[in-house]
Amino acid sequence: MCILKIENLNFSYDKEKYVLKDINLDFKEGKAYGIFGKSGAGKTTLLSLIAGLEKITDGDILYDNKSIKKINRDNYRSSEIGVIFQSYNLLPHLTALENVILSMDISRVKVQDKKKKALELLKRVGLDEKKANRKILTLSGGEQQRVSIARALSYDAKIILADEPTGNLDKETEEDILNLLISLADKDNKCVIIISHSNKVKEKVDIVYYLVNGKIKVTN
Amino acid sequence: MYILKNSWINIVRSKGRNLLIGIIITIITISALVALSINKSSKNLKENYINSNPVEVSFSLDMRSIRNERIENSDLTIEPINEDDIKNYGNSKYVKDYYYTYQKSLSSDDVDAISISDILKKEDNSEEDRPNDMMHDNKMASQGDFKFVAYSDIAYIENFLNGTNKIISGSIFDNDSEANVIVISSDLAEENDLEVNDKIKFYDPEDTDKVCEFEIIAIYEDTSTNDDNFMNMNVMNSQNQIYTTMTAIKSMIDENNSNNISAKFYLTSSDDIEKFKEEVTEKGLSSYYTLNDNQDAILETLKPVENISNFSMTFLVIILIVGIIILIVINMINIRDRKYEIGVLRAIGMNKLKVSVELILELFIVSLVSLIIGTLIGISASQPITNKMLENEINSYTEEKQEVENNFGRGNIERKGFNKMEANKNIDYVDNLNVKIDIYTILQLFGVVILITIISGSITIISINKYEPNKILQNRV
Repeated sequence: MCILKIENLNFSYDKEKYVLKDINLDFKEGKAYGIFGKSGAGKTTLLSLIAGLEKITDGDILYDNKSIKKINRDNYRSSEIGVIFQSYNLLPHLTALENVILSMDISRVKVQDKKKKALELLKRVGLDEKKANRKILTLSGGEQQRVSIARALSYDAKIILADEPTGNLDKETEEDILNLLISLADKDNKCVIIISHSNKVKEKVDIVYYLVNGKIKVTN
Repeated sequence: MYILKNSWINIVRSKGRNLLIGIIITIITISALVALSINKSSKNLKENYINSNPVEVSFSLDMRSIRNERIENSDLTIEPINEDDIKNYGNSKYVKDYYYTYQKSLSSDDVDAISISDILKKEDNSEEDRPNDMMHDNKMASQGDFKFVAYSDIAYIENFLNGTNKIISGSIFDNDSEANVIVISSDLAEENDLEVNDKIKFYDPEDTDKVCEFEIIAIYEDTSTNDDNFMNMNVMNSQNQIYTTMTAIKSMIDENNSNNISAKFYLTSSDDIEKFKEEVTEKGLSSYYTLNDNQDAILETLKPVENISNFSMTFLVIILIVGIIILIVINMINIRDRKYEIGVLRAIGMNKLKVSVELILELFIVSLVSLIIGTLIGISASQPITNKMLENEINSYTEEKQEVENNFGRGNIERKGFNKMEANKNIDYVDNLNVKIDIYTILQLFGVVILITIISGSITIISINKYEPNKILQNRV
């Protein structure tokens, strides 16, 4: 089922030079997508638009057949789409567990025992209770990325959007994290969209899109 | 609920900053409480003081207007006030009560007046050193040695009311007495070997044929310490004051001479002063008379209290302005420091309102705790601070007066024209302000602190509305 549809999307920061030009893409549940491109190709801009962090000015993005221009973008970000940022974007003064619970609180997801669910999610991404109770800055980059993934999963979003999720990680950890993300599509029927440079990602995802000078060039 | 929890976590993790905010708000709270309570208490005191002191109105001739008018119109005559006029003015809905007095200086060949010259003579018999007492031996033709006073109502004789005079022998006459009776001072009685029931003849120095015999009905003790013996005039000596009945004094005076009569009206409220003045003008009081009230005199005694009230309110305004500026600066630094946190919260879907509420809630919790601490300190500190301020204020007034006297090298310096009595009058400043902190004051205080929280917190809302999560996070990367 198509959960996200990009229609005739154009985007410019200054209304002169377009970063994205006439983008048309479909994303389905249970599939893992990879969007590749050189630096400055417009990958992060596309992610920002899909995540609802940037306003659409030309064209549209439909989530579950509804234009995200017409829905509350805060609610969309907190409940419908889980974003995994390259720089993790976790709150450093909170523990890993508190970061995940906070995300559940903001999304207003109905969970009986938020702490229990958060611990389960953190365990699933490879963090035990001891690490779950540690402050973010005491965790390694890979562990922080795992917390970020657990946070994205905490409110059962249908789309997981990951921006260079393995960019700061060593090879072994990269493999683990990628396997985890791909499993979300395979096992949890999520629509996983990964923006990356990595060839490893290219090998693992179901569908690959290339962004060249703001245009989707090649698909497979 | 999670917003409150997050706010609390943020307060605990930024102890230094919140402690600073707490101290500022505590200082503001203490200052505000002291200022508000002083202001409230002084207002109450003023109101009660004015209500407990009767509103008095009297009239006097406006000599300056008369002189000015006479330059242009030398035939100017003024209709004098008589007893009927006073009764007419007293018959007003604004007047609670009134009285009038007749005064007349009389002379006597039967008794000697108490004279300062005599006292000095007793102490030093040297003739050369005697002061030049023109009034004693060479009595002015128009001025007697004894001041006869008659009150329309003896209940208003001020000297008996304030205890300066006290009957020690006999008893004072009734209001409706028509007898030629007098009450004299014990000094006068001793000087002339007089007793109750003795009779003395007095005459009008302006018309020596006008003679009347008076019977002493009572003797009073005069405890006044004021030296009002202006130019050694015996008539000004309080020991030569003689009280008599209305009927008796009228037999010795010209009732149409307004110089002999004076009146005092007690009004129901200070709000009625102007209305009463309008009414008596309508009833025909000449424009050359001015009506004087005692409000300035009453307010003069409250001046130190008013001053500390005004000072405390000015201080409060300054503290509020400075406090708000400091809090706004701290908030601006806080928001800048927490830009990343705001960006993350916004990126994971927390809306602007909730982020603002979370940050303002932090400020509000710190404010509330500081407010409670400040209120407790303020309640216990208000009275001592007020007492100290009032004491300093009264001291500065007293020192100022003392300094002027020192400059002249002596006391009793007249500064109000010829009105010696007024100039030398010591003002009993109100030196006790009982500070009461009621629920209204506490509510006002809460209002003040909530207001500064909102004002300084508004900078948070403005900043958050300005921030876009994507830009914050991109800038950090």
